[in-house]
Amino acid sequence: MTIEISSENKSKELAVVTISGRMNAATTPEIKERMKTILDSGHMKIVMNLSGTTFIDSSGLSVIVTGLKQTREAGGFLRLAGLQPEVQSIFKLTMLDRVFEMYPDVESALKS
Amino acid sequence: MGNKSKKATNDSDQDVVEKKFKRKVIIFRLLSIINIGLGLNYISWRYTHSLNMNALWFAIPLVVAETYSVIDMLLFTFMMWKPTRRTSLKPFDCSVDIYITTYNEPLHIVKMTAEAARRIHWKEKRIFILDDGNRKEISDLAKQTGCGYITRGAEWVGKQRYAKAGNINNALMQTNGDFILVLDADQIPSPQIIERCIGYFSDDQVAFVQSPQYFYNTPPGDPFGSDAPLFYGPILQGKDGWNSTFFCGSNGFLRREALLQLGLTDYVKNTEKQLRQGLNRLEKDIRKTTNLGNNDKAALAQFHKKINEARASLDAGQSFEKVAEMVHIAFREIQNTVNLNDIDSIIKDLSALDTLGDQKAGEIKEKIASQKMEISREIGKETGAQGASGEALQDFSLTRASEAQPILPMATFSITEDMATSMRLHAMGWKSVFHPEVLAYGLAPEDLGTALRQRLRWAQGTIQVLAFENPFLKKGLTFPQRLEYFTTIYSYFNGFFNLIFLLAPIVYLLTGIPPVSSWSTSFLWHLIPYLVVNKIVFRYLAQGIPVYRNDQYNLALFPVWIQAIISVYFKQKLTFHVTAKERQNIIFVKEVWPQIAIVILTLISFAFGIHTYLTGTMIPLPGLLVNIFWGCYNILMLSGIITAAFYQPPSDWHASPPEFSV
Repeated sequence: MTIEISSENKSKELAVVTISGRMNAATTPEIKERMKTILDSGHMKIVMNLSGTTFIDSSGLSVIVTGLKQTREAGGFLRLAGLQPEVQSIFKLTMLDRVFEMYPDVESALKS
Repeated sequence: MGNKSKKATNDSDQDVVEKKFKRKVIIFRLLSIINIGLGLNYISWRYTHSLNMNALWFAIPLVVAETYSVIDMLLFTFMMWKPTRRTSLKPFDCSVDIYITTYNEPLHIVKMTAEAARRIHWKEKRIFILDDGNRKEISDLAKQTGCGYITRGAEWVGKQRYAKAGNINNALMQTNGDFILVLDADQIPSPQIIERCIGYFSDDQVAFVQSPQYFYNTPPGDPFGSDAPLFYGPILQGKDGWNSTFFCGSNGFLRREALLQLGLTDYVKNTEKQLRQGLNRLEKDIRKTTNLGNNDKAALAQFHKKINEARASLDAGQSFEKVAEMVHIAFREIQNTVNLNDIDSIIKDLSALDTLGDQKAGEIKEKIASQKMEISREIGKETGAQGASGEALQDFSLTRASEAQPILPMATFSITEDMATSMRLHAMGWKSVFHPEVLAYGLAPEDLGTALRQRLRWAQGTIQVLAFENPFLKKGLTFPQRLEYFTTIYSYFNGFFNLIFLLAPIVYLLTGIPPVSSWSTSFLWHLIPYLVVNKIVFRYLAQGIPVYRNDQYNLALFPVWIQAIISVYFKQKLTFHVTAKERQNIIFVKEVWPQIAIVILTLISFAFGIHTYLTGTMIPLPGLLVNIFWGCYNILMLSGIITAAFYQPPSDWHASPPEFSV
């Protein structure tokens, strides 16, 4: 398995996107495509569940930052939930942990 | 001969070359030590024993220019102290994206490059034509040749495009190869280019590999000084020894991961900068706001407190998202409080009218009072929609709203994005490689006007790096790396000093006032050995490489270098001119008027100087001879660029594209 993406619409505007597997240069085109579909359907508030993401590289991070720009410009948000320590360390390396508020799980991201 | 014995012969050949190279380095160092000794001896003697104290206005500029040259020699020696001599490493399996960047180059030029790129030996390669000109014929060419076609999307409309840097950044977000080979539209690659260079990336700290840029259309004698074998040879090998070779925009490979990491950290730094600017701006606005009622004053004080809290949270390492949220909440609160205060004041006025018997005012007052909160919210929405809050809070959007892309891996602050990006990668701790083998040939400018515009852009871009990201202040660079980047920038300051060297003999021969205390044998004994050894060192280093044209242009381009510095420091708008790939058939006298003026003035000063010598005592014979010799040297050096202005290629000469063996 390289990547598995699923999304659950919580409301007209809010969706939870779960990404499992490896987020790297090979899998990001698929993630990008899926994000585009979700945004085009009017969901500009997105909680990204990364609890099943085992690896992320700079290409994966770029997709997340692009997603942040797109959701924010549409008046929404992009929240990250359930990051595994390995993935979190890559966020630290690129200092992206300074940008995002990391939520331990989807529930807390939805509540906030 | 069996394979084994062939390998043994190759190995022993390699050993001989390696030994020769090491010997060359040792001899260079010995010569350089003598050169440094003579140079320092000369310049200290100039300051202590030979300044003409009666004409400091002349003596000081000249000695400053000489000091510049001695420092230049010291920096050059340091650069060349431990050069590399790389040989290809074993290739490994990986995917390579080949970017062919184009804007307005003719179709046949792009086609030659695309077809050559298809012939490159590599299994996992994908070729993309990055067409910033958005031209149908190029899109058709991509289809015909089986290349991908990338052009800017809707997100770039109304945003800064950043020329070639923007073109590459745009493509980076749409492709996913492990490595990227960047080729200018005219650079025809050898089929071996990937096999020869990719092996260096087996060291996972290597961010980029640069190979030389050579030209197949340089006319006989290289009238425009386009060839740069010294730069794409000994100089980059020298820089490579200090891990500070730089990416030169084409014929180089980049590691995608390194570029994206750079883009991401740059995004974070910029976002933080913007947040801090936003907080400062809000604070400034608060200080400027006066003439408020007591209630509003209290609300503003509360808002100020919240802004300070947001800043403290940012300092304490709180996430930008949280800080931005704190500001948004504080802004909504103050908006609401001010609105409520306004509504209260309206209610008060209506109450006064009610007391005076205005029944209607009383009714409205009741209605407003009962819906105070809703009305305040509506006003808030309305002002938000009109952009008041949007403008105040634009720095807290975390989206780099003014940019088409949040992540801009290729540096966009300089018009020579390649050097700026290299410096940032080095500052992040990445390594670089210069592979000295020529693996692509392209087109050099075919007329002086185009050549000069290209040089001006390089100079402006390099000076921009000093102006906006001074290598001495950039965190993360090693000291030799700082020095290497500075050396490149420093060399572009020579315009002012070369002008002094060109004017000095003219001033002396016209006025009879010497910049030195005397033209004695002592002067010649200090100067000549230094000049001779200096030339020997340079020639020794350039063994087999023609450097005469390089020497000529180095002196003759003084107006271009001066213009570059003035344009950057006086904030003239700089644009990235795509170098024309076809000859403009005109004569470029206008471009070389300063050089022509210097030659004419020098000749006049010769006549005047000889006349003065023959008719009086103001100019002694040694002074006359030294300065005429000096003036002749200047004329010889300037003659290259002046003849280039009138240059027409021989009618039977035409450029032939390279033919690589497959």
